[in-house]
Amino acid sequence: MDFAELYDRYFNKVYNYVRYHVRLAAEADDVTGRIFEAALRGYETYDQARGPAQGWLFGIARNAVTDWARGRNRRGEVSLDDAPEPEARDPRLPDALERKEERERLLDAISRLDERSRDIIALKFSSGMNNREIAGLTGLGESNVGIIIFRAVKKMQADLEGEKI
Amino acid sequence: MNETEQAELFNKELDALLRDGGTPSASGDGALRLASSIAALDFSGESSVKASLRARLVPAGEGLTSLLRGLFSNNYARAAFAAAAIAVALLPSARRQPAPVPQPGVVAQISAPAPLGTPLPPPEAFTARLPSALRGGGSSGPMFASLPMGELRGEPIKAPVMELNSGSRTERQGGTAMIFETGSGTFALERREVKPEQIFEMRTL
Repeated sequence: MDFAELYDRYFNKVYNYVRYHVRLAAEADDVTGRIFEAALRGYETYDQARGPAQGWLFGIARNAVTDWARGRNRRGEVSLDDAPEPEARDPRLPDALERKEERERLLDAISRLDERSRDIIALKFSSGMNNREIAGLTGLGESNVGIIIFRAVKKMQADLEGEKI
Repeated sequence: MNETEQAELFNKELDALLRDGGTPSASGDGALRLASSIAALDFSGESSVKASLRARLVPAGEGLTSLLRGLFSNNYARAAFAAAAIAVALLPSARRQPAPVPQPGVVAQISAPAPLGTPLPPPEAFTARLPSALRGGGSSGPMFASLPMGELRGEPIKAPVMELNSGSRTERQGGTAMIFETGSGTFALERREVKPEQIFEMRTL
């Protein structure tokens, strides 16, 4: 697999993973750009025999997201997670508005998870990796990853049902 | 059913959902329906850098990495590259030609060195001794050119500065000497043992 193929195959997944952590699209673009720049720099030394590119790439993505969060905390910036998203491209469409509201509700619920649970959920639903691969990437046990996912989804479910009440 | 068993069952159903892409029934587990909604999230359409980032990164990646990877992933290409590297390494030695063994007639034509004070011939005389292929017609020609020694074999040596009439070997005090008689004078090449004081003058300060 050459770099172009890697980019085409994983850009959407990496971007989605970043968006679970970085709510603003512009910032997510910036972080995603840094991830693929780092991937390009390391691609010459990456040995495909050592493991799938997916795990290697998401390892870079996790580091980039961690760096972004540290940098934001160091600068003392206020979290923009609660800032309103820019208007949808065509807000007159009721379906688009409804989808956007639904998406915002889900992202709000994800953002209320603790850091580790949010990262596991982001990996599970964006990367396409199974629990064993996530365990290998994060250093957790496979069953532990399964329990974290189960608890996180249950917590989100309770949060969202509480909102409705 | 304890939490671990519930988590195992949930993850099994979740993996099937993510793999097959189906939608759980409305009457099914609420957590699984929520998971299905999360799995449907796709923000990639909001990225404004996807195309420009690709344009910026991929040509560099294709030009360098994929070229090298493609080259070295093939055994035949690897062997061809090794052969080409060896050929390049051996090219300088292949260009050198063995020096020709001078023939007796050629050696006899070599002129003796001119005595001190003999005026040098004009520069054109040196140029005239070069083969015609190396003389060059104008200023656009190469200033220097390598010439295999074999090419010089047939070149006549013009206007010898002196001619050797006779030569003899004689005994001198403490050694021997070769006497060369030429048209412009007699030269002696002596071979004898000398002491430093015969050459240098010693002075005491």
